[in-house]
Amino acid sequence: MEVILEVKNLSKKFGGFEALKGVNLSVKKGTIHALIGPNGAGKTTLLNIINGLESPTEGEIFFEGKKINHLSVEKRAQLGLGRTFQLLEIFGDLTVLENIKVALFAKSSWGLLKSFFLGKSFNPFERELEKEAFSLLQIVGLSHKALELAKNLPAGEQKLLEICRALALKPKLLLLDEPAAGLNTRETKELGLILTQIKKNLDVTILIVEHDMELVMRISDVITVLNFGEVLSEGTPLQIQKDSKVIKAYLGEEL
Amino acid sequence: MKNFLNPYLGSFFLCSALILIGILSGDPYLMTVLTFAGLNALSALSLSLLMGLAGQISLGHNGFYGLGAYLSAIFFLHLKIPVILSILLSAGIASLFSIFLAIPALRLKGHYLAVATLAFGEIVYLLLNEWGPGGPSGFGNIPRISLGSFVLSSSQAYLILIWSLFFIFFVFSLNLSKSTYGKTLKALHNSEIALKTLGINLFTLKLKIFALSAFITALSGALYAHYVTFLSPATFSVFYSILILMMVMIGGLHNLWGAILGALFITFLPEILRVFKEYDILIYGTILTLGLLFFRKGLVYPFERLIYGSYSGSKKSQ
Amino acid sequence: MEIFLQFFLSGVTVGAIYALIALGFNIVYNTTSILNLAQGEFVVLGGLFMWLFFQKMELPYYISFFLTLLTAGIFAFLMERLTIKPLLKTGDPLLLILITIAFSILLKGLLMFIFGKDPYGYPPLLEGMPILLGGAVIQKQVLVILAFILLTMIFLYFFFNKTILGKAMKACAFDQVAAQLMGINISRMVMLSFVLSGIFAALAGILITPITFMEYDRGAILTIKAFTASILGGLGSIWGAIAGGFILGIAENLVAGYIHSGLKDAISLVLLLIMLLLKPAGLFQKEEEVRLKKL
Repeated sequence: MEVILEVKNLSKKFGGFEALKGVNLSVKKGTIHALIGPNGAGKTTLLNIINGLESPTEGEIFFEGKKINHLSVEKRAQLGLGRTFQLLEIFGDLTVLENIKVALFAKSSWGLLKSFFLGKSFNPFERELEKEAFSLLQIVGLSHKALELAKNLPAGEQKLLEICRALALKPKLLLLDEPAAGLNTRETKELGLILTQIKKNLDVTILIVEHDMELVMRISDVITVLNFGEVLSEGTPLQIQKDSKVIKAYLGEEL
Repeated sequence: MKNFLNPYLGSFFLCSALILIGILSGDPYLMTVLTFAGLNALSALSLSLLMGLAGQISLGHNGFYGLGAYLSAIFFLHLKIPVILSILLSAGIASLFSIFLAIPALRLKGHYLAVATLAFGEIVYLLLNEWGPGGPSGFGNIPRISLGSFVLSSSQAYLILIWSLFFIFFVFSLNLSKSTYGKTLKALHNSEIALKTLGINLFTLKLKIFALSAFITALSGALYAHYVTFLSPATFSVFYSILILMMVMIGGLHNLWGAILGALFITFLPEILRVFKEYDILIYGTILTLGLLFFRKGLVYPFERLIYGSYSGSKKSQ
Repeated sequence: MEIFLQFFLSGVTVGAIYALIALGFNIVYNTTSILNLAQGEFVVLGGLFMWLFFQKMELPYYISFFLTLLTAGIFAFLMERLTIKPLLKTGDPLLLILITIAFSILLKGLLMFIFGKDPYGYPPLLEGMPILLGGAVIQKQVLVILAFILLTMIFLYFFFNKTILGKAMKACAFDQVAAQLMGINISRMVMLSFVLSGIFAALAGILITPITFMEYDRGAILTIKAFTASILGGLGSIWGAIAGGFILGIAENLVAGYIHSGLKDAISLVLLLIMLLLKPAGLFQKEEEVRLKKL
């Protein structure tokens, strides 16, 4: 299978603290790849480096075979790297629909002056945008809340909204940072279904950081375990569950 | 009733009403104040686009206002460019200046951006003072607006012209605020990081709205020059920026209507307070302070409540 | 050389005044992240009330001096309690900047109402012939100003490093949440910072009025100057403010003397822009430190 993301020998130091020590990771196209590990293992830092919010102290990142170390966050997004956040970063003062429209808009060439001079009713582009946004909302089951302000949604739906917004980018690789945190069992289950659907129907590869082991074991194809900034183990959910190193370092206390 | 509440129609009625009140009163003083209110409203609108919509602070709009006014007057007096062209040209050049300022300054945030723009505005003011025609005392004989041999000279004409222009720009601004582009600007308030991860170049986004805002303010300045036909640098000190900032805040930052209401209120307030003579600054300051303390959502808020009910601002505001 | 010395010394004098105002600016900024744009009005208040007590009511110098500082302290206290405290929890920096502007207009109006539009002055603390130093003339008041700035610096050093109150304020500037957890009353610290900054500004007013006179509408330009000084030295840095004040004062006077007097004010703004664009943290602070303090 083709590799979509390759991280080679990645290190990150914050002052004297080594958050990542020579991490190697390769994510295969069309998979759900989970990144697990105890708190402080460096998972979010790794995501931040992959999508460009932080720069690595050492090491290289390849996306679809191209080195992307020097690219800005925006450029990486345009290449097809989508992202959600552990602490939500939705546009709370916009409606659900507008959140998605803004994301879709990023890919269009519709500029300031056209928006200034032409009203909405003379503006076919806005209507197209609306249609497309609606169909995206349907994927995550939020279309019935399209006109509500995003900040008024319950936390679970805000998470879905953020995933949906990242999908609007038509990403090839989606980085999800603890999407199940704060969700109840039912919501987590739904999330799992949605993620597998996204993988299958939209042909999106997913790299997910998650603490909910049940979800991780259910949906992922490959799991990488990070511990103290190092890769401890990697394999299928079954292999990971049996790995004595992992059990000792991490799973033993939680499962 | 519903049509009347449509913001496009509503602004049309309001602008027409203001023009009519001025003309029917036949009072030159009232017409002058109303015309000034229109110019101020135009500048306040441009600031509302920048601050209310895009969340970027500027204390340097007096610089653009001054550049618009001086350049347009000088272009006409020295280069003999037709007035309408010189107005547009000066607004365009001021807008270019705003880009030069914005390229480094927009990397700064909050206070720092406020200070950088403030410094820019002050520099323009000092340069006008030092090297502008007439120095600190200014210069006159600036021609009125004309098209061919037709010269706009009566106060009625300027009242109509300026509020009509305001209406046009208000409509454009409504377009923008309702468009997805406008929503993207609004999203800047909530999360810059999220916009970046969506592949949006924040810098060009801010740069463009900054240039547009500068253009409108400079346009207002150029109109001012040809309306009063006399310019002195004192008009273009940092107090002008503070003045339109107050208009936007007192009117209501979150809604473009705030710009009109604030401009009318702040323009008329000193005129009304004039009867208090030496108390006027004191009362003016007290009203502003109380306004900011107790009417944080601005003058526009009671109207929103009236129109949309107590739960306002969610789906329909603006 | 003599001319240079003369320009330099006038620069030092003005610089000391800028430094005093900038100090207050930074004390407030540190505890609250608010830019107090009413600072200049307190300088005016200092000069005018000193005239009232000393010249009009003919009280002794030192009594007038303390009464003036007390008045400034009371005004600053009222300003903080009535306008800043109610808005602090909104956390909206724009609103907080604007309310200081609105209050400054109010204060200016009040001063104009009390004192009218005339400029006022009074004799300096040390009268007599100016001193000649290497061909340059120094007014004795300049020495008084320099003495006061030295005293202020010593006071601040002891206040922030040796007293519990000062240390608590420093903690507030560093990390408000942690300070609160340690039982420091943040609201009281904010109030105190305003009172202190009002007093420093008034002190600047008392000192400069014998040299330049004072009138009701001088506040705004002084605010801008103090502000430039703070940015030069780094917003929030106490010692930076003092250095920034002197640098600005000297630069202004050299430019006015050697190049063109009309550029005197422009130079400070150009300096300000250059600083903001190249090194927003100021001359003496590191960018990382500033970010740490969330400035």
